[in-house]
Amino acid sequence: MLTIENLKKRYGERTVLDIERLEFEDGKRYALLGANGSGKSTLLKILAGTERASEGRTVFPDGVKTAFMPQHAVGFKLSAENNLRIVCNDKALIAAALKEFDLGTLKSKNAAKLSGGETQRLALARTLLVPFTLLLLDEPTAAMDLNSAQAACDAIKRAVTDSIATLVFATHSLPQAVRLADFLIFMDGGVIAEVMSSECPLTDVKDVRAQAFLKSIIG
Amino acid sequence: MLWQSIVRAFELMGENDPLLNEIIATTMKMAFTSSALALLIGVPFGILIGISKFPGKKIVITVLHACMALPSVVVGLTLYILFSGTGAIYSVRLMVVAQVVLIAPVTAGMAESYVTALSPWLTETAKGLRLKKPKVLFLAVNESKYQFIVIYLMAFARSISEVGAVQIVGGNILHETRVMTTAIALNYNMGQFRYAVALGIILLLIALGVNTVATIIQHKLK
Ligand SMILES: Nc1ncnc2c1ncn2[C@@H]1O[C@H](COP(=O)(O)OP(=O)(O)OP(=O)(O)O)[C@@H](O)[C@H]1O
Ligand SMILES: [Mg+2]
Repeated sequence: MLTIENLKKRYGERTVLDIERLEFEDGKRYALLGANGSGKSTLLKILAGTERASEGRTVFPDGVKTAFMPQHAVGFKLSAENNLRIVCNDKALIAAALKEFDLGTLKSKNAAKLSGGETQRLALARTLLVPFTLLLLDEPTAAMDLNSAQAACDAIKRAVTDSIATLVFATHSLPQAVRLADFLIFMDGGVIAEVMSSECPLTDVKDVRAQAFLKSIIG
Repeated sequence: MLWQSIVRAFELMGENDPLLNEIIATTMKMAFTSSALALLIGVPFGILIGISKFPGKKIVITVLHACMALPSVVVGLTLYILFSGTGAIYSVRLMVVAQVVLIAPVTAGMAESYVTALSPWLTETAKGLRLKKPKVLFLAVNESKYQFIVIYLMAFARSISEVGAVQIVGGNILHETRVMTTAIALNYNMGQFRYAVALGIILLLIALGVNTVATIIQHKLK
């Protein structure tokens, strides 16, 4: 179990994250939902350790291995194939990843010159090649076309299932959240508004902030 | 006067003067060795500081920045005191040591500021992939090889033109530790301005040549 207690993150005077308690069960999948600036990325960065909390603590399960894909996908100035090779030596795995993310024709191309969606596909493929027990993805398919996003979702699901890992991801797509996650975490202004099972009908949402958010995206 | 010196400079080069060749050879040996060593030591150190987060990082960077402006005579004197009476004094090797002490902080400081200015996404992404430090180092350098050529040129230029430290620890010994800058200073002191200016012009031409080669490499890299 991954536990967050009394976590606060401040930038200057502003508190952008304020979480009393949040638990992530091992092997479960969690979607972070919320408007721009609600604190999704900040929470993921703190879990990934690339950003330090101002207060509070995070307790990780023993022997946790984290892989994190930031919101802004980066292609290293190498061929797409070498971008994968930098995290993995297994040629068969790399070939499979190139195929799964439809990067075969791009494998010799300089990754710094890929399109936004291509870069994101490559970044996701690269992240999934890292051995992990905790996978953190920040809007992993936001730049992809619908087909690619669908395929990426399947790849994420398969990778998380194979590694028996915990998944926490941010998304602006409600269908994706429902499809991929066991639990939906609604965030608002740096606060956890509500956590609910993705199997419950969305009409079950009780928190007014979460209701308002849902209304804003489904109408 | 200047014109005559320029003419003299070309005459000197045409004469294939053995002493001049020797001084140039010693200068190049010293400058290439010390700038290469300064690069090999300073750049990884600077990048490591740039990509790491640790307590006291600000202090380390402040000290590093202070070291970028170490006065060369102070470095020369310190090494002189440490090594006088030993076999190392008045050797090209000690001149190289002095130059590395002077230049490595400059290459480290430049590498650090370059990596810090580099997209923060690169280090965040690398951390997210749990890449080991040597790989992050490689990626940081790989992101802009051009930048590191510029750093090397800085190091080489500083080395070839430095006079204070090499004079003190090298002693400007004929056939041994005499380099272009100390030879220029000596000729100037002896009133041989024309020879001094001629040497200066040759020094300039060498610097220009090195820069041209580097520019060509840069264009090839792009
Ligand atoms: N480095 C920073 N310095 C100052 N403020 C920051 C910094 N990073 C984030 N913030 C602020 O923190 C708040 C939360 O940002 P965060 O990136 O977590 O939002 P988000 O939920 O991921 O939004 P989005 O949907 O746009 O990705 C925002 O108001 C943002 O302006
Ligand atoms: Mg975000």
